[in-house]
Amino acid sequence: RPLTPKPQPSPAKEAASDPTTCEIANNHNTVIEIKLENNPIGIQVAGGCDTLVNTGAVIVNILPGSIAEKDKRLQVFDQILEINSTKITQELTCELIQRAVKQVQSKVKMTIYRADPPEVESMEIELTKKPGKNLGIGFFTSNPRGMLVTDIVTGGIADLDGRIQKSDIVTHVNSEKVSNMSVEECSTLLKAIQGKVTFKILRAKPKKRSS
Amino acid sequence: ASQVEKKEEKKEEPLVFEPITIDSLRQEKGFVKTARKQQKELDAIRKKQSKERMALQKTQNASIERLIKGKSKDEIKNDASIRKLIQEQNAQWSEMVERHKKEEWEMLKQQISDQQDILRKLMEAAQTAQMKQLESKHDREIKELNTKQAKISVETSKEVANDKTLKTKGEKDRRLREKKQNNIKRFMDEKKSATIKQGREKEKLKITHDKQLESLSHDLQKLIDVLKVEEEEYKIIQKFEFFA
Repeated sequence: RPLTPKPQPSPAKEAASDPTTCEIANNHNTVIEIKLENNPIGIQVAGGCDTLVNTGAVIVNILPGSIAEKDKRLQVFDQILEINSTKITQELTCELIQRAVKQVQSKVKMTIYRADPPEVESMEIELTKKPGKNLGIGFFTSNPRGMLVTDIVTGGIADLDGRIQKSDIVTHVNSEKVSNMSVEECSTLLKAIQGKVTFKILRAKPKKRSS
Repeated sequence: ASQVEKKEEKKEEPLVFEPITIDSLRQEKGFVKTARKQQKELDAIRKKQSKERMALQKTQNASIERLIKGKSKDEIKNDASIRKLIQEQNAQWSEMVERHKKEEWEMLKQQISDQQDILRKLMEAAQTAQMKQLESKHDREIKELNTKQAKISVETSKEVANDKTLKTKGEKDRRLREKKQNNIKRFMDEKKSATIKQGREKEKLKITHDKQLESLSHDLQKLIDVLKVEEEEYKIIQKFEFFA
Protein backbone atom coordinates (compact mmCIF):
# COMPACT_ATOMS: atom_id res chain seq x y z
CA ARG A 1 0.00 0.00 0.00
CA PRO A 2 1.42 3.30 -0.98
CA LEU A 3 2.18 5.59 1.90
CA THR A 4 0.07 8.65 1.98
CA PRO A 5 2.51 11.36 1.08
CA LYS A 6 3.28 13.63 3.94
CA PRO A 7 2.05 17.13 3.20
CA GLN A 8 5.01 19.17 2.15
CA PRO A 9 5.71 22.10 4.43
CA SER A 10 4.12 24.98 2.60
CA PRO A 11 6.83 27.21 1.21
CA ALA A 12 7.10 30.48 3.09
CA LYS A 13 4.65 32.75 1.32
CA GLU A 14 7.23 35.44 1.05
CA ALA A 15 10.47 35.56 2.86
CA ALA A 16 9.97 38.21 5.55
CA SER A 17 11.84 41.12 4.10
CA ASP A 18 14.90 42.10 6.04
CA PRO A 19 14.32 45.56 7.51
CA THR A 20 18.01 46.37 7.31
CA THR A 21 18.05 46.10 3.53
CA CYS A 22 14.48 46.08 2.17
CA GLU A 23 13.42 48.87 -0.15
CA ILE A 24 10.53 51.13 0.79
CA ALA A 25 7.40 50.19 -1.14
CA ASN A 26 5.01 52.77 -2.51
CA ASN A 27 1.67 53.08 -0.75
CA HIS A 28 2.44 50.41 1.83
CA ASN A 29 3.79 50.33 5.33
CA THR A 30 7.43 49.31 5.28
CA VAL A 31 9.51 48.59 8.36
CA ILE A 32 13.13 49.56 7.98
CA GLU A 33 16.07 49.47 10.32
CA ILE A 34 19.19 51.59 10.07
CA LYS A 35 22.38 51.20 12.08
CA LEU A 36 23.31 54.44 13.82
CA GLU A 37 26.06 53.50 16.27
CA ASN A 38 25.14 56.52 18.37
CA ASN A 39 25.35 58.95 15.45
CA PRO A 40 22.46 61.20 14.46
CA ILE A 41 20.40 59.73 11.64
CA GLY A 42 20.39 63.05 9.77
CA ILE A 43 16.75 63.46 8.88
CA GLN A 44 14.62 66.48 9.62
CA VAL A 45 11.00 65.84 10.33
CA ALA A 46 7.96 68.11 10.19
CA GLY A 47 4.77 67.40 12.08
CA GLY A 48 3.01 67.64 15.40
CA CYS A 49 -0.47 68.61 16.54
CA ASP A 50 0.80 72.14 17.24
CA THR A 51 2.13 72.74 13.70
CA LEU A 52 0.55 73.19 10.26
CA VAL A 53 1.55 69.63 9.38
CA ASN A 54 -0.80 68.14 11.95
CA THR A 55 -1.83 64.86 10.35
CA GLY A 56 1.44 62.98 10.69
CA ALA A 57 5.23 63.18 10.77
CA VAL A 58 6.99 63.63 7.45
CA ILE A 59 10.64 63.71 6.46
CA VAL A 60 11.38 67.11 4.93
CA ASN A 61 15.15 66.93 4.73
CA ILE A 62 17.92 64.38 4.51
CA LEU A 63 21.25 65.87 5.45
CA PRO A 64 24.10 65.41 2.97
CA GLY A 65 26.72 63.00 4.25
CA SER A 66 24.45 61.73 7.02
CA ILE A 67 23.68 58.11 7.82
CA ALA A 68 20.21 58.42 6.28
CA GLU A 69 21.67 59.73 3.03
CA LYS A 70 24.27 56.96 2.86
CA ASP A 71 21.54 54.37 3.52
CA LYS A 72 19.80 55.77 0.41
CA ARG A 73 16.35 54.39 1.19
CA LEU A 74 14.57 57.29 2.86
CA GLN A 75 13.24 60.17 0.77
CA VAL A 76 11.83 63.60 1.38
CA PHE A 77 8.04 63.36 1.99
CA ASP A 78 8.22 59.83 3.39
CA GLN A 79 5.80 59.59 6.29
CA ILE A 80 6.98 58.13 9.60
CA LEU A 81 4.27 56.08 11.29
CA GLU A 82 6.33 54.62 14.07
CA ILE A 83 9.88 55.18 15.27
CA ASN A 84 11.56 53.03 17.92
CA SER A 85 8.17 51.84 19.16
CA THR A 86 6.89 55.42 19.49
CA LYS A 87 3.71 55.49 17.44
CA ILE A 88 3.24 58.87 15.78
CA THR A 89 -0.32 59.67 16.80
CA GLN A 90 -2.36 62.80 16.11
CA GLU A 91 -1.92 63.88 19.73
CA LEU A 92 1.87 64.12 19.69
CA THR A 93 3.30 67.63 19.83
CA CYS A 94 6.15 68.74 17.61
CA GLU A 95 8.47 68.53 20.61
CA LEU A 96 7.55 64.92 21.36
CA ILE A 97 8.01 63.91 17.72
CA GLN A 98 11.45 65.55 17.65
CA ARG A 99 12.30 63.76 20.90
CA ALA A 100 11.42 60.44 19.29
CA VAL A 101 13.42 61.14 16.13
CA LYS A 102 16.52 62.62 17.75
CA GLN A 103 17.71 59.80 19.93
CA VAL A 104 21.25 58.61 20.44
CA GLN A 105 21.24 54.85 19.97
CA SER A 106 22.81 51.92 18.19
CA LYS A 107 20.04 51.53 15.60
CA VAL A 108 16.72 52.97 14.61
CA LYS A 109 13.62 51.08 13.52
CA MET A 110 10.90 52.91 11.63
CA THR A 111 7.63 52.16 9.93
CA ILE A 112 7.52 54.25 6.78
CA TYR A 113 4.68 55.02 4.38
CA ARG A 114 5.68 56.43 1.03
CA ALA A 115 2.68 57.89 -0.77
CA ASP A 116 2.92 57.95 -4.55
CA PRO A 117 2.23 60.62 -5.66
CA PRO A 118 3.54 62.46 -2.58
CA GLU A 119 0.87 63.95 -0.36
CA VAL A 120 1.68 67.63 -0.53
CA GLU A 121 -0.14 70.88 -0.76
CA SER A 122 1.29 73.31 -3.26
CA MET A 123 0.77 77.04 -3.19
CA GLU A 124 2.10 80.31 -4.43
CA ILE A 125 2.98 83.02 -2.00
CA GLU A 126 3.88 86.53 -3.06
CA LEU A 127 5.86 88.75 -0.74
CA THR A 128 7.10 92.28 -1.33
CA LYS A 129 10.68 93.08 -0.40
CA LYS A 130 10.88 96.68 0.70
CA PRO A 131 14.18 98.55 0.72
CA GLY A 132 15.94 98.16 4.06
CA LYS A 133 13.84 95.18 5.04
CA ASN A 134 14.62 91.51 4.76
CA LEU A 135 12.38 88.56 4.00
CA GLY A 136 13.80 86.99 7.14
CA ILE A 137 13.80 83.40 5.95
CA GLY A 138 16.48 80.80 6.59
CA PHE A 139 16.86 78.34 3.71
CA PHE A 140 18.59 75.00 3.46
CA THR A 141 19.69 74.50 -0.12
CA SER A 142 20.85 70.94 -0.60
CA ASN A 143 17.38 69.46 -0.81
CA PRO A 144 16.51 67.69 -4.09
CA ARG A 145 12.98 69.08 -3.93
CA GLY A 146 13.95 72.70 -3.46
CA MET A 147 14.97 75.05 -0.67
CA LEU A 148 13.78 73.97 2.75
CA VAL A 149 12.62 76.76 5.05
CA THR A 150 14.64 76.24 8.23
CA ASP A 151 13.87 79.44 10.07
CA ILE A 152 11.55 82.41 10.04
CA VAL A 153 13.24 85.43 11.62
CA THR A 154 10.99 87.26 14.06
CA GLY A 155 9.90 90.64 12.74
CA GLY A 156 10.93 89.89 9.15
CA ILE A 157 8.62 90.25 6.14
CA ALA A 158 7.79 86.51 6.05
CA ASP A 159 7.10 86.44 9.77
CA LEU A 160 4.71 89.39 9.56
CA ASP A 161 2.99 87.89 6.51
CA GLY A 162 2.67 84.53 8.25
CA ARG A 163 1.96 82.28 5.25
CA ILE A 164 5.38 80.73 4.73
CA GLN A 165 6.21 78.32 7.52
CA LYS A 166 9.19 76.40 8.77
CA SER A 167 9.54 73.05 6.90
CA ASP A 168 7.91 74.37 3.72
CA ILE A 169 9.89 73.57 0.58
CA VAL A 170 10.36 76.33 -1.97
CA THR A 171 10.54 74.87 -5.47
CA HIS A 172 10.50 78.09 -7.51
CA VAL A 173 11.44 81.71 -6.92
CA ASN A 174 9.83 84.03 -9.48
CA SER A 175 9.24 80.98 -11.74
CA GLU A 176 12.92 80.03 -11.56
CA LYS A 177 13.50 76.46 -10.42
CA VAL A 178 15.73 76.40 -7.32
CA SER A 179 16.18 72.68 -6.62
CA ASN A 180 19.81 71.60 -6.87
CA MET A 181 21.05 75.19 -6.79
CA SER A 182 24.06 75.89 -4.56
CA VAL A 183 24.02 78.15 -1.50
CA GLU A 184 25.83 80.85 -3.47
CA GLU A 185 23.42 80.74 -6.39
CA CYS A 186 20.35 80.76 -4.16
CA SER A 187 21.57 83.55 -1.94
CA THR A 188 22.61 85.71 -4.89
CA LEU A 189 19.24 85.15 -6.50
CA LEU A 190 17.28 86.06 -3.40
CA LYS A 191 19.42 88.92 -2.17
CA ALA A 192 19.34 90.61 -5.56
CA ILE A 193 15.55 90.64 -5.78
CA GLN A 194 13.87 93.92 -5.06
CA GLY A 195 10.12 94.35 -4.87
CA LYS A 196 7.82 91.42 -5.53
CA VAL A 197 9.00 87.84 -4.91
CA THR A 198 6.80 84.87 -5.76
CA PHE A 199 7.53 81.62 -4.01
CA LYS A 200 6.08 78.36 -5.18
CA ILE A 201 6.05 76.06 -2.20
CA LEU A 202 5.26 72.49 -1.26
CA ARG A 203 3.95 71.68 2.17
CA ALA A 204 3.68 68.09 3.39
CA LYS A 205 0.08 67.09 3.94
CA PRO A 206 0.08 63.41 4.87
CA LYS A 207 -3.16 61.47 5.30
CA LYS A 208 -3.91 60.27 8.79
CA ARG A 209 -2.48 56.80 9.08
CA SER A 210 -1.44 54.36 11.75
CA SER A 211 1.16 51.68 11.86
CA ALA B 1 -20.65 50.45 70.98
CA SER B 2 -22.14 48.74 67.95
CA GLN B 3 -20.96 51.60 65.77
CA VAL B 4 -17.41 51.13 66.93
CA GLU B 5 -17.67 47.48 66.05
CA LYS B 6 -18.95 48.26 62.58
CA LYS B 7 -16.06 50.59 61.99
CA GLU B 8 -13.64 47.90 63.03
CA GLU B 9 -15.21 45.36 60.74
CA LYS B 10 -15.20 47.64 57.72
CA LYS B 11 -12.37 46.53 55.46
CA GLU B 12 -9.75 49.08 54.61
CA GLU B 13 -9.79 50.26 51.00
CA PRO B 14 -6.88 48.84 49.01
CA LEU B 15 -4.06 51.35 48.78
CA VAL B 16 -3.47 52.28 45.12
CA PHE B 17 -0.53 54.54 44.34
CA GLU B 18 -0.52 56.90 41.38
CA PRO B 19 2.50 56.29 39.15
CA ILE B 20 5.18 58.96 39.59
CA THR B 21 6.49 60.00 36.16
CA ILE B 22 8.44 62.88 34.67
CA ASP B 23 5.12 64.28 33.44
CA SER B 24 3.35 63.98 36.79
CA LEU B 25 6.31 65.63 38.54
CA ARG B 26 6.30 68.47 36.01
CA GLN B 27 2.82 69.41 37.27
CA GLU B 28 4.12 69.93 40.81
CA LYS B 29 4.47 73.38 42.25
CA GLY B 30 8.16 72.96 42.94
CA PHE B 31 8.77 72.33 39.26
CA VAL B 32 6.30 74.74 37.69
CA LYS B 33 8.00 77.66 39.41
CA THR B 34 11.42 76.71 38.04
CA ALA B 35 10.03 75.97 34.58
CA ARG B 36 8.48 79.43 34.45
CA LYS B 37 11.75 81.03 35.48
CA GLN B 38 13.64 79.04 32.86
CA GLN B 39 11.17 79.92 30.12
CA LYS B 40 11.61 83.62 30.96
CA GLU B 41 15.35 83.21 30.76
CA LEU B 42 15.03 81.52 27.38
CA ASP B 43 12.62 84.13 26.04
CA ALA B 44 15.01 86.88 27.11
CA ILE B 45 17.99 85.39 25.31
CA ARG B 46 15.89 84.76 22.19
CA LYS B 47 14.67 88.33 22.20
CA LYS B 48 18.23 89.59 22.53
CA GLN B 49 19.34 87.36 19.64
CA SER B 50 16.41 88.40 17.51
CA LYS B 51 17.40 92.06 17.96
CA GLU B 52 20.93 91.28 16.89
CA ARG B 53 19.67 89.41 13.83
CA MET B 54 17.47 92.27 12.76
CA ALA B 55 20.27 94.78 13.19
CA LEU B 56 22.67 92.70 11.10
CA GLN B 57 20.04 92.21 8.41
CA LYS B 58 19.57 95.92 8.21
CA THR B 59 23.25 96.71 7.70
CA GLN B 60 23.71 93.81 5.27
CA ASN B 61 20.71 94.93 3.27
CA ALA B 62 21.88 98.49 3.06
CA SER B 63 25.27 97.54 1.64
CA ILE B 64 23.78 95.09 -0.88
CA GLU B 65 21.24 97.64 -2.04
CA ARG B 66 23.98 100.18 -2.60
CA LEU B 67 25.87 97.71 -4.81
CA ILE B 68 23.00 96.40 -6.93
CA LYS B 69 21.30 99.71 -7.54
CA GLY B 70 20.53 100.13 -11.24
CA LYS B 71 21.98 96.78 -12.25
CA SER B 72 20.01 94.11 -14.14
CA LYS B 73 19.51 90.59 -12.84
CA ASP B 74 22.18 89.16 -15.14
CA GLU B 75 24.64 91.90 -14.30
CA ILE B 76 24.16 91.12 -10.63
CA LYS B 77 24.72 87.41 -11.21
CA ASN B 78 28.02 88.04 -12.95
CA ASP B 79 29.31 90.91 -10.83
CA ALA B 80 32.33 89.65 -8.89
CA SER B 81 32.14 92.32 -6.19
CA ILE B 82 28.48 91.58 -5.49
CA ARG B 83 29.18 87.88 -5.28
CA LYS B 84 32.07 88.53 -2.93
CA LEU B 85 29.92 90.72 -0.72
CA ILE B 86 27.13 88.11 -0.62
CA GLN B 87 29.61 85.43 0.37
CA GLU B 88 30.99 87.64 3.10
CA GLN B 89 27.51 88.40 4.32
CA ASN B 90 26.56 84.73 4.33
CA ALA B 91 29.66 83.91 6.37
CA GLN B 92 29.03 86.75 8.80
CA TRP B 93 25.43 85.71 9.22
CA SER B 94 26.15 82.05 9.71
CA GLU B 95 28.81 82.89 12.29
CA MET B 96 26.23 84.85 14.25
CA VAL B 97 23.57 82.15 13.95
CA GLU B 98 26.05 79.56 15.15
CA ARG B 99 26.92 81.69 18.16
CA HIS B 100 23.22 82.16 18.94
CA LYS B 101 22.51 78.44 18.64
CA LYS B 102 25.44 77.61 20.91
CA GLU B 103 24.23 80.12 23.47
CA GLU B 104 20.77 78.59 23.41
CA TRP B 105 22.02 75.01 23.60
CA GLU B 106 24.25 75.88 26.56
CA MET B 107 21.31 77.43 28.32
CA LEU B 108 19.03 74.48 27.56
CA LYS B 109 21.65 72.04 28.79
CA GLN B 110 22.03 73.95 32.04
CA GLN B 111 18.26 74.07 32.39
CA ILE B 112 17.89 70.32 31.93
CA SER B 113 20.59 69.72 34.47
CA ASP B 114 18.83 72.02 36.97
CA GLN B 115 15.54 70.30 36.23
CA GLN B 116 17.20 66.97 36.82
CA ASP B 117 18.08 67.91 40.40
CA ILE B 118 14.60 69.24 41.08
CA LEU B 119 12.81 66.29 39.50
CA ARG B 120 14.96 63.79 41.41
CA LYS B 121 14.22 65.54 44.71
CA LEU B 122 10.50 65.73 43.90
CA MET B 123 10.47 62.07 42.99
CA GLU B 124 12.26 61.06 46.18
CA ALA B 125 9.79 63.12 48.23
CA ALA B 126 6.79 61.63 46.45
CA GLN B 127 8.14 58.12 46.89
CA THR B 128 8.91 58.68 50.57
CA ALA B 129 5.35 59.91 51.05
CA GLN B 130 3.97 56.79 49.38
CA MET B 131 6.16 54.57 51.51
CA LYS B 132 5.01 56.38 54.68
CA GLN B 133 1.42 55.90 53.59
CA LEU B 134 2.02 52.21 53.17
CA GLU B 135 3.79 51.96 56.54
CA SER B 136 0.98 53.71 58.38
CA LYS B 137 -1.47 51.35 56.70
CA HIS B 138 0.65 48.49 58.01
CA ASP B 139 0.73 50.00 61.52
CA ARG B 140 -3.05 50.22 61.43
CA GLU B 141 -3.35 46.62 60.35
CA ILE B 142 -1.12 45.45 63.21
CA LYS B 143 -3.07 47.54 65.70
CA GLU B 144 -6.32 46.03 64.46
CA LEU B 145 -4.88 42.58 64.70
CA ASN B 146 -3.79 43.24 68.31
CA THR B 147 -7.26 44.49 69.20
CA LYS B 148 -8.87 41.50 67.58
CA GLN B 149 -6.57 39.11 69.41
CA ALA B 150 -7.13 40.82 72.78
CA LYS B 151 -10.85 40.50 72.20
CA ILE B 152 -10.53 36.81 71.46
CA SER B 153 -8.53 36.34 74.71
CA VAL B 154 -11.28 37.98 76.75
CA GLU B 155 -13.94 35.94 74.98
CA THR B 156 -12.04 32.73 75.64
CA SER B 157 -11.85 33.50 79.38
CA LYS B 158 -15.57 34.27 79.45
CA GLU B 159 -16.41 31.12 77.57
CA VAL B 160 -14.51 28.94 80.00
CA ALA B 161 -15.92 30.73 83.03
CA ASN B 162 -19.45 30.19 81.77
CA ASP B 163 -18.94 26.61 80.64
CA LYS B 164 -21.41 24.57 82.74
CA THR B 165 -19.81 21.26 81.80
CA LEU B 166 -16.67 22.19 83.69
CA LYS B 167 -17.49 21.43 87.29
CA THR B 168 -14.41 22.22 89.35
CA LYS B 169 -12.07 25.18 89.43
CA GLY B 170 -9.24 22.81 88.58
CA GLU B 171 -11.05 21.70 85.40
CA LYS B 172 -11.73 25.28 84.42
CA ASP B 173 -8.12 26.32 84.99
CA ARG B 174 -6.87 23.42 82.91
CA ARG B 175 -9.27 24.17 80.05
CA LEU B 176 -8.34 27.85 80.17
CA ARG B 177 -4.65 27.01 80.02
CA GLU B 178 -5.26 24.78 77.01
CA LYS B 179 -7.27 27.33 75.19
CA LYS B 180 -4.79 30.08 75.96
CA GLN B 181 -2.02 27.90 74.63
CA ASN B 182 -3.96 27.39 71.41
CA ASN B 183 -4.66 31.10 71.13
CA ILE B 184 -1.00 31.98 71.53
CA LYS B 185 -0.08 29.69 68.67
CA ARG B 186 -2.83 31.08 66.48
CA PHE B 187 -1.96 34.68 67.33
CA MET B 188 1.69 34.13 66.53
CA ASP B 189 0.80 32.57 63.18
CA GLU B 190 -1.48 35.48 62.34
CA LYS B 191 1.20 38.03 63.22
CA LYS B 192 3.77 36.13 61.21
CA SER B 193 1.68 35.95 58.05
CA ALA B 194 0.70 39.63 58.39
CA THR B 195 4.36 40.59 58.67
CA ILE B 196 5.25 38.52 55.62
CA LYS B 197 2.43 40.06 53.58
CA GLN B 198 3.46 43.55 54.61
CA GLY B 199 7.08 42.85 53.79
CA ARG B 200 6.03 41.77 50.31
CA GLU B 201 3.98 44.91 49.81
CA LYS B 202 6.91 47.08 50.83
CA GLU B 203 9.28 45.19 48.57
CA LYS B 204 6.87 45.58 45.64
CA LEU B 205 6.56 49.32 46.19
CA LYS B 206 10.33 49.62 46.49
CA ILE B 207 10.76 47.89 43.12
CA THR B 208 8.16 50.20 41.53
CA HIS B 209 10.04 53.20 42.92
CA ASP B 210 13.39 51.99 41.63
CA LYS B 211 11.86 51.56 38.19
CA GLN B 212 10.41 55.06 38.32
CA LEU B 213 13.81 56.53 39.17
CA GLU B 214 15.30 54.62 36.28
CA SER B 215 12.73 55.87 33.77
CA LEU B 216 13.20 59.42 35.04
CA SER B 217 16.91 59.20 34.23
CA HIS B 218 16.00 57.67 30.89
CA ASP B 219 13.53 60.46 30.04
CA LEU B 220 16.04 63.14 31.03
CA GLN B 221 18.70 61.49 28.90
CA LYS B 222 16.30 61.69 25.96
CA LEU B 223 16.06 65.46 26.43
CA ILE B 224 19.84 65.75 26.45
CA ASP B 225 20.07 63.50 23.38
CA VAL B 226 17.85 65.86 21.37
CA LEU B 227 20.27 68.72 22.03
CA LYS B 228 23.30 66.58 21.20
CA VAL B 229 21.77 65.44 17.92
CA GLU B 230 20.76 68.99 17.01
CA GLU B 231 24.31 70.17 17.61
CA GLU B 232 25.76 67.39 15.47
CA GLU B 233 23.26 67.99 12.67
CA TYR B 234 23.83 71.70 12.70
CA LYS B 235 27.45 71.13 11.71
CA ILE B 236 26.10 69.81 8.39
CA ILE B 237 23.15 72.18 8.06
CA GLN B 238 25.39 75.18 8.52
CA LYS B 239 27.22 74.47 5.27
CA PHE B 240 24.06 74.65 3.20
CA GLU B 241 22.06 77.29 4.99
CA PHE B 242 21.63 80.97 4.16
CA PHE B 243 19.29 83.77 5.16
CA ALA B 244 17.56 86.24 2.91
